[in-house]
Amino acid sequence: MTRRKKLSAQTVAVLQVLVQRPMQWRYGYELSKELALQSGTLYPLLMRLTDAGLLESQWQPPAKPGAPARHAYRLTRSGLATAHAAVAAQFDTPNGALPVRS
Amino acid sequence: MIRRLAFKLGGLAAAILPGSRGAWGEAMAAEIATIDGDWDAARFAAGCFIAGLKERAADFDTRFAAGLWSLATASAAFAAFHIRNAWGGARALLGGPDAFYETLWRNDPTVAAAYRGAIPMVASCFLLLGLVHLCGAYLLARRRFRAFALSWCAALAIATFVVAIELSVVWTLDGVPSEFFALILQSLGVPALLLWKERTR
Repeated sequence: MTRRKKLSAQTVAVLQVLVQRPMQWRYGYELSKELALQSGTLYPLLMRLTDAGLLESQWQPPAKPGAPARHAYRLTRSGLATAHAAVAAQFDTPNGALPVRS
Repeated sequence: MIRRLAFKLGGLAAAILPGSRGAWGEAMAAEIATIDGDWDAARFAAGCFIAGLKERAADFDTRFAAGLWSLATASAAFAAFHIRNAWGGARALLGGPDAFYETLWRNDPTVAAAYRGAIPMVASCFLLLGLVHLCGAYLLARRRFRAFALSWCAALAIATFVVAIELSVVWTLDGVPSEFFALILQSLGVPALLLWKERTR
C-alpha cells in the first residue's frame, strides 16, 4: 500500500499557478512574484516537485543577446493530474474542475 | 554595490547546495542575473541563500557527516578527560596534591600505599586510553569504520584493565566507571548511524 503525503498549502499554490497554463514554461522569479512566495520557500518546493516527477525543467535560451540561459519549469503529465486533484481537493469542486479566476 | 551583493549571495547559495543540486544553483544565479531592480535581485538572492541552507540541512550526507563529527568530537572530549587524568596521576607521583591519597592514608595506610604503587600503571593506562580515543575520533571523522572497530576493541581492553587495577586496590564500584563512558556512547552511536544510513539508502 502506498502512503500519500498531504501537500502543503504552498505546494498546492505552486501547482495551482502552473496548472493554469500547463504547456507554458515558467521561470523561478516569475513564479515567486506571482505567488508572492520568497525564493527561499519556492526553490525547495520546485526541487521536491521535480524529484517527485511532477515537474520538468529545461534550460531556455536567453531572450536578449548576452543574457544568461534561464531554467524553466512546467508540469509533467503526472504533475498535471496531481495538480488537478490537489486543487479540486482544496476547493472541494466536483469532478476535479478548476475554479475560474475572476 | 547591491547588485554585486546579490551575485555574491547567489554564488554562496550555489556553493552551499549539495552536489546533487548543482543545476539548481546555476538556475538561481541565472534568475538573479535577469532581475531588473537591484534590491529585488538582492531580496531574491537572499531567498536563494536560505533555500541553499535548507537543502544543505535536509541533505542526507550532510546529516550523516554531522552525526559522525558529533561522535568524533565527543570521543575527542573523552580522550582529553582521560589524558587529564593521566596528567593528574603523573603530578601526584611528582609530589603534587592528591586528595584521594590523603583520604586513604587517614583511613587505611596499607590501601593508600597500594594505591600509590598502582598510580604509574593507572596513569599510563589513562594516557594510552586517551590516545586510543583520539585515534578513534580521527578514524570516525575519516569514515574508516573497520579501523575504528579495532581501536574501539583496544580501548575496551585498556579500560577493562585499568578498572581491574583500580578495583584491586579499592574495591568500590559506584555505577559505570567513567573509563567506559566513551565506549558506551560509541557502541550505541556508530551502529545507529550506520543502520540509519543503510535504511535510508
